[in-house]
Amino acid sequence: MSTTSGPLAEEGGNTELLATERVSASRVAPLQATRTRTRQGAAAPLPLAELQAWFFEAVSAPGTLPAGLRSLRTATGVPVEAVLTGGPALSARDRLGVYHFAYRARLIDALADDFPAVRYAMGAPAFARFADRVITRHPSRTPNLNRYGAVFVEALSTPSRLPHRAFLLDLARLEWALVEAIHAPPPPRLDPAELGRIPPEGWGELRFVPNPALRILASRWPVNRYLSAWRREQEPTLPARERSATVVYRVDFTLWRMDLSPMTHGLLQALLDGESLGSALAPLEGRAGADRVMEWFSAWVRGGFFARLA
Amino acid sequence: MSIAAQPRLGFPDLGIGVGLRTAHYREILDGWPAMAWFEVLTDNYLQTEGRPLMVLDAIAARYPVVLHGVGLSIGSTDPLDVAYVRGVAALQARVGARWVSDHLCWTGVLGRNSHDLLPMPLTDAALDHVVGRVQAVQDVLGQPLVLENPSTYVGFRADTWHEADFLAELSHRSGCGLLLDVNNVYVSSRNHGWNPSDYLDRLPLDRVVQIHVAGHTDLGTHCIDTHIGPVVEPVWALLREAWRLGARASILLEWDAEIPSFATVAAEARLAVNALGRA
Repeated sequence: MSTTSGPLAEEGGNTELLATERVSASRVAPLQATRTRTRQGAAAPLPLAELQAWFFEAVSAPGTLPAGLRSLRTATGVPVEAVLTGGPALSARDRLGVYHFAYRARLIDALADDFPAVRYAMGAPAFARFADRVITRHPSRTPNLNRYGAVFVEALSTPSRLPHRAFLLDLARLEWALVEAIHAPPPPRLDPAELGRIPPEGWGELRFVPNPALRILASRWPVNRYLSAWRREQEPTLPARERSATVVYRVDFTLWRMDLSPMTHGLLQALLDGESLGSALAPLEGRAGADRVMEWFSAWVRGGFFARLA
Repeated sequence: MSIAAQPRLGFPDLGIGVGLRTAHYREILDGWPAMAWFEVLTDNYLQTEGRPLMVLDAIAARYPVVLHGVGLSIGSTDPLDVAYVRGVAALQARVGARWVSDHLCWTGVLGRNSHDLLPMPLTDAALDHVVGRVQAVQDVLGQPLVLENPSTYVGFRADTWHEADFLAELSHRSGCGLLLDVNNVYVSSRNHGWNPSDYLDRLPLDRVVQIHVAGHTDLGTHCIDTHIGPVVEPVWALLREAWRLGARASILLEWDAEIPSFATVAAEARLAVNALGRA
């Protein structure tokens, strides 16, 4: 086979249950009932839009809720007790704290669903801290979270003092490619019979339109091997530098990721970049026989790498 | 008979179903287990053109489905996201969902989204606001929207309505149906000091299109609607009471945390049969 290893099926993928109604029980905030003095609100009720803006600011405030409420009080002049009521057992602040905790917990959980191996590599506390900063800088602005992980990759691509950032970025790109492949439309697949109708002398001029769900991840680290080891619960450590290339694609219900050798990476990348088959094969002259090339190419067509002839 | 005068607004009684969850895709697709119907989390199938839709298409071809959303934000003061509503309508048409439900809540404002079901202040202004938006949604759907009573953890000083009365008036004025979540009734009653039986008495139960049952987490000082674990007896008791009072509607079990096998979830749902003595 042409590749450095066979394709690996991705059982399940990462992110298909992002819209849940509730924060999970394991993420229920431990409350320590505060003993704040309740002050009855004397001011007129806030109009609905102002009330919602106030509530959202309170719920999404970074850091602790008391700190957020102090800032909000400074900015708006509105104390919590003027807006919210206490309950049978909890103060108004503690009740608001349920929402404040859930806001970040839910978004951090969503990012952890998308980037479980990155979370492992960073360590859960460091991941949560980094995700927390991402959430503060990039609050979600869409009704669902299917695409939210893009901001996490973007944040990792920004230079920072985060340890091992470059490796983590490549690992995140690989995990995000899997998410994108899950949500990509079922691609039209090049019919091998169509190729069979092309006379041999015409093959050199063939160009291919790639499957829009297909991604190639080139890295200075063996990120796919690391991901596989993590999936197998082998507790991988940060790998030494080693160039790698991985192709991610989906065939019907199943996601696949497959390492590419330098030779197959170069050929496939050239084809995906729109080069003709003849041009893409030129660098392999004398390095790979026709039988091997045909073997690679057949596997790619079967895998649906190409949507159609250009 | 007008739609409004028909039980469940004319929507069918589908029996006892469960929420479709990703963790069960493989068991369902491999074995096509017996199940009367599935409730589908709408938002998992929006903003995607890939595998989630392929799975849903296959399941909807074999089972009745309904759509249950968390992203409509019917109470937000941001402009109604018409593109979102049209997306829901298109998904409904694609899978033949019998009805579309979401929650009495808002999820975001000023363009930002919490992805949480945030509580509505129960005021006249809020009621007017929501009535108008429900009608706008129904214009797109071409049928009554179904709204669920949420679990809430705070009350507003400005509140002038009991939540059940607010929902009753909302249903009356907008024509929307109600999704009665008896677990939410229990959770909110604990959190606010309400009498859950009084809550049920106040609701127009003939407008209940669907009922939810689920587990929750009891922290002693308050309850969180986590959809974890089995349904507790007080919630089954509320289901029995609602049924006795006239909420004769499709019943659905939600299980969203530490999700067990499909067989376990299905067995828990069947306990509703015992709870109601219902075939």
